[in-house]
Amino acid sequence: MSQAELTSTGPGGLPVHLTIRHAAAAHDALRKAFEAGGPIVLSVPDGAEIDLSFLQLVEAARKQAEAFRLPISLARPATGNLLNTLERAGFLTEASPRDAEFWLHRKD
Amino acid sequence: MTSLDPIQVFRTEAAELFEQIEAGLLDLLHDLSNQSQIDAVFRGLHTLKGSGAMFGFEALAAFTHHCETAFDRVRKGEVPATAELVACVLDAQDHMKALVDTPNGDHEAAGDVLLAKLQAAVGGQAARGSVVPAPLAAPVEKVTAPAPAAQAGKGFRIVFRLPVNAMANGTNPLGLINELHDLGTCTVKADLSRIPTLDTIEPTDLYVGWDVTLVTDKGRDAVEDVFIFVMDEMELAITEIGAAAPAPVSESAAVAAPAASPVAAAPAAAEPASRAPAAAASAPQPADAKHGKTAENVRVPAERLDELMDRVGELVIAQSRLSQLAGSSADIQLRSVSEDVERLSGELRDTMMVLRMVPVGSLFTRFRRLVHDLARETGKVIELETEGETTEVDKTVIERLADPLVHLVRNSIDHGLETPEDRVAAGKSRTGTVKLAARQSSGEVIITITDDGRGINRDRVRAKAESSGLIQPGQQLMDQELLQLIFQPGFSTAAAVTNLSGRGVGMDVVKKTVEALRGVIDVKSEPGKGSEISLRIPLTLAIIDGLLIRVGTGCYVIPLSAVEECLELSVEEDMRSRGRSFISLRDSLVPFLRLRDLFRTGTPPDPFQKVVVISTGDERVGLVVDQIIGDHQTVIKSMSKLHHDVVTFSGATILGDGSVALILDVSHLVQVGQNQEAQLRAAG
Repeated sequence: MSQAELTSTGPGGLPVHLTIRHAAAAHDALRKAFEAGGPIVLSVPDGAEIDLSFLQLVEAARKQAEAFRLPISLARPATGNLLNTLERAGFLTEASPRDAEFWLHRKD
Repeated sequence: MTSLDPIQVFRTEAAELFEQIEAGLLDLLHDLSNQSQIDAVFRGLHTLKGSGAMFGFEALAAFTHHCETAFDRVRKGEVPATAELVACVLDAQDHMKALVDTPNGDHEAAGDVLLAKLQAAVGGQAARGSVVPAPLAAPVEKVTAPAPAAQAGKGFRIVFRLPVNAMANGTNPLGLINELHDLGTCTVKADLSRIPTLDTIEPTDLYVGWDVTLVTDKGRDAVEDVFIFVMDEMELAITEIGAAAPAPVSESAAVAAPAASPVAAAPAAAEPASRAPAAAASAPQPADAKHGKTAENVRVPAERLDELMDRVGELVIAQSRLSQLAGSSADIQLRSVSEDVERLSGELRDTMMVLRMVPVGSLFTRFRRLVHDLARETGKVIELETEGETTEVDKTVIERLADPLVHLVRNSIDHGLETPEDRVAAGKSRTGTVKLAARQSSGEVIITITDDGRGINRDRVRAKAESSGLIQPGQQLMDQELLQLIFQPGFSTAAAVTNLSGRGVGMDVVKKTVEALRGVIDVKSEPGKGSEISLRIPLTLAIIDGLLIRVGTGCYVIPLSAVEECLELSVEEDMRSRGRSFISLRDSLVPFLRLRDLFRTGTPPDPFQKVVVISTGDERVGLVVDQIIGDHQTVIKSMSKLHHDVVTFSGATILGDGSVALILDVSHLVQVGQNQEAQLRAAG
């Protein structure tokens, strides 16, 4: 079972910009990664444009991964635009240890 | 109607938090490794600190921060929870209460002492991350306190959810949140519960909702303006923090504190504040639970309930007048309306009564700390047991019983329970038990304080009573009369006076308080086995269902909850009973009182006398009356001070025709009847 690393760099992976305009493409990319059946690693560059739609998709992917017992993770702790968007959207406020571990790679 | 003072709202919240923290600490003492209790204490301290900072209680926030940091280290397993730490935080909590009560008081020196103890309790056991020597009471508030607007204590809790198609239609939810940020200091928490799995999500739909706490100097209009273009389609609840529980505190305040805490250098403190939220406790936050509750509960000042109760009382009196008028009228429609009003006012009264009822557990909880402190003070090993915490009592009763119960519990521990050595010598376990129990019975709540100590020394009570002139030397007393002497003003056995006694509420005040609540005190005691003091208090103090009776030309009310049955006193029975005042009721003799004689009406008896059998607990007595008029919703009015010494009546009420009817004091009458029975039996 090979690991699917979804990078936000273009063909085959996540769209370059992770906003609502590209939400359908990001959704498709994530679903294909699940179909591959292996662990999923998301790689989001600091400079990628990100909005709430992408955060929702990642949360949906996490729920699905939990249901399918598939590991899903970020390639590195959230930084840059991703971290900024997470904070603005209130995703990190009173975050559970699991959320903190997923988004920030912090083990409480 | 004036809006609530936000500072007062905070104080109320703080009182609840103190209870929560204290309960957690005391539970923790029983099991120092209990992670859920450790988390609960941490969360309570954290919320207290954040709320304190929000409402401008900066010294409180700063002081609490140190305790919170200590428990954070325990929570993270860096240091173990110890009895010493728990005791320190209990003491620190008392200091926090002082900081809430008198925020401008001179508390610094006392705070420094406590923090030094706290540092010793935690620092001495640091597993990793050494204790950083730093000035005590570091100015945490500089970091934790929000913007100046926050110190004014104004704020809103904004819970909102945009339509599912909002993003697809071009609305940017984060833009709205940015606008809220522009109004003041925001804490934003997303609700992700509605996000589905990847297979079912519509990628452009919006599933997230938000719960925002905004501290601002702007008004509600400014907040509503943020949502002006989407307001019609969205779910939006804006609550002034002054009208509801304080909102969740920013986690960043918890970890952005300076590392120079006297308790520890919390590792998280060095991290960027922006990441701080992820350091939240693993268990659900109490603030969340509280928010869940505020959606369904409304906090109402007690005095408003009292006002409402007064209005309902007046309505019941007016309804009584209407019923009387309708009863003497042939107008069918008037009678119909009167019956409707009677039904509605009765329902309103019942609803009002429920509003005033409070579980007695809220009273019992306070005693855990008292017992803990007294155990430390006396060196006795004490277990507090409680029973019947869910029993509900009128809130006024709860408030007024607090001090008397404190005194009774102190008395049980100080005078009743023996030292561990004495208990072992007496063949008992080292641990003494004090039990608080509550139950309802016949319209009364019975609260008992039981201990398994040495019991009341009757010889010493008698000797003291004789020497102080309360009774004549050698005077014959029934056991209950002798035991009741402990409630006489100034009564105490010299050997029994310790520094635990005499905090302003004596046993005589206990009795007066209970009697003012129309209650009675029973005492039981067995030498070497312990004592039990029972307080029997009416369930409510405002309106009761009564049985209206006539004796001579006067009307009286008997609380219906005490009435067991009514029967006619036949002429034969009446003749047979003269001189002994007993009736035979299903093969048992029940003493009875002729109220006409008791009240000296000077009127001839009606030809067919009635007996109303009343009871308290297992004791019964019959009251002979001239007429039973019927049930009556009775709004209890206090007797004037002129009638303070009248023991036969517990209050008065106004009847429909404007006349006054006195309310019989059932407990007193039963006691009179029982005494009469005892005397007759003694006379053979």
